[in-house]
Amino acid sequence: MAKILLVDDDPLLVRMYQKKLENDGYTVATADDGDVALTQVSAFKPDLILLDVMMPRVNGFQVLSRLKANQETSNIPVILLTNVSGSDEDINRGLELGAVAYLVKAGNRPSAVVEKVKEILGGYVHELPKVKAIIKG
Amino acid sequence: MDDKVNPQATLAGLAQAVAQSAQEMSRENKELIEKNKALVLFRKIDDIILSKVTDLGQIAQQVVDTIVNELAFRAVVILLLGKKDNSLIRLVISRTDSITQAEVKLNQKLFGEKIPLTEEGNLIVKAVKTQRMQITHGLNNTLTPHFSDEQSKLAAETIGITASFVYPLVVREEVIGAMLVSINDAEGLSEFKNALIDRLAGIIGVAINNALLYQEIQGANVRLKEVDKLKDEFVSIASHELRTPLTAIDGLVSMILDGEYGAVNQDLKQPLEDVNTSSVRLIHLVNDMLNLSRIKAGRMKYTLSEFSIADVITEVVHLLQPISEQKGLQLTAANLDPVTVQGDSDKVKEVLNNLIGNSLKFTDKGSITVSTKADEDKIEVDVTDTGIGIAKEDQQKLFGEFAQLESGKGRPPGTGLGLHISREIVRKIGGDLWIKESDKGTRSTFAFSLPKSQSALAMRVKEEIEKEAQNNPDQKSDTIK
Repeated sequence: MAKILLVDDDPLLVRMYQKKLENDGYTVATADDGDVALTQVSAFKPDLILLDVMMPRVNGFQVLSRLKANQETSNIPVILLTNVSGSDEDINRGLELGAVAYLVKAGNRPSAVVEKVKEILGGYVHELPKVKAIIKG
Repeated sequence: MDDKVNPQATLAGLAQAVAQSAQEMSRENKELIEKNKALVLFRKIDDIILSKVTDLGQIAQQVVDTIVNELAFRAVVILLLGKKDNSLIRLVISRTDSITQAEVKLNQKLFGEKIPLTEEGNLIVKAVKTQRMQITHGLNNTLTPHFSDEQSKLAAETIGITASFVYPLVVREEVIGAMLVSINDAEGLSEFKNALIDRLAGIIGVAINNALLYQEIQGANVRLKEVDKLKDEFVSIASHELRTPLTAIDGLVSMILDGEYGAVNQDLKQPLEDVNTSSVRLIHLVNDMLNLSRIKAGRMKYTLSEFSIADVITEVVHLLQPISEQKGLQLTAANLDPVTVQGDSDKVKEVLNNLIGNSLKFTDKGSITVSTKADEDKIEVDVTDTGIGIAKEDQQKLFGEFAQLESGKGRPPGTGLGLHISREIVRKIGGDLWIKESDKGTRSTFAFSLPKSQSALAMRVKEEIEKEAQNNPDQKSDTIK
């Protein structure tokens, strides 16, 4: 089954998304900041990354640009998860950096997030994104 | 005796008359010169007071310097009454070489330190307390308690002062300070000059009071803006911080209800759903408050464009169709004019969403219809439902902040800000929002209008919005959802 790396600094939310993902049969690894996330990527080799934007130290945008700069990790699809209502600027920045989708947590329940994961893994596994999906909460 | 005229007597009389009239003329001439000087002085003071300078110290300095120059006085000092510490403090003293010399000699500034109102022997204190003009030789009893009599004498001699007059500055029966005028005039002050200074004290009192009030208002304005910004920041932070726990509550409850954590006891379903509804309501409330504070502070950015109102209506109606079907209602758009309007399309969608949403909430059976009506420079959008209706006496209340009516009991409560915000938004972009028809138990029509594109109204609104955007560079466009 597909492997998901879940990156978020809020342990409560991590637990919540992890539960939903595991219930749906995914193998999940977690990271609570950008540095840990980057280490996890090479060790765990996830099929998809759910990445929080607002994190202390290394934020989601920084993680994303490092992933895309590295040939070994540039193909892994990344869904940005954010708690701030995404401004057009943020969404564009995320998509320009190579995220496949941008989800606002408040507007997307765990079931909707996992739906998105399924959709993207169905079409994108180990491929570069062909379509940029915007889902705004 | 015949009535022969005595030529000698006549001549003497004539000479006397000439001398008399010459004296009179000379006096009149003197008075004319003085009056002329006074006019020039008033004119100059007017110019100072009405100039662009609003700084109290600067205005007062210019005024005292002008008086000293125009009337050849030795010194003019203005002191303000500090209500907090009950003392008189120097606002300004005229700038002349002799005053500088005196201050150097005494190694101390004249009137530089506060004079407490308890200093009964001080004539300035007396003038303020009695609200009457005081006269003294030299500078006697004006510099206490910070200068000795000898020092006062030295100061008066150095500056060349023979007499000083202290006038209370009274505005609307309230003393705001005092003005000290010092002269070197063996003959004393002419009646005219006396009246003139009296008048000057009145003018200066008003001018200083105005400048003081202006300063106060400016200070209050700055503080108000700061408070407003703080409030906005607070609401913004509160809203974002509330989001995280609310997302968790909402997400977790939805997962529990979906059975992700195991089967849910039937008895628990309703309370869990209520938890969910409450958390959603809370986040809406915070968002609405944030939006409202943004709108009021002029920090909501409106992005104007021209768009088809029919397209926007069709889109929103389509999005709300599932909710309508769920309640077994008929939601339709009918008779839409193919008109281009000017507005902020995202915000118009929100307004429409809000109106149709309200109709859906308060209608249990029947239909909701959205239609348009065009007139010369506006288009009107009507949302009509077959819902519970609104009693006439309740209709105005509905647009207030946090409005919830008794008749709405038993329905999921909203934030009570929706209609208020919608109306604020529509009014900003040149339209209005109102209840067109409704009464208890009958159908209701809510209407809003928008300017047609390129109409005179549209042009004017565009200009106003551009102006406000310039004044508020930190505007944001999104309403927070």
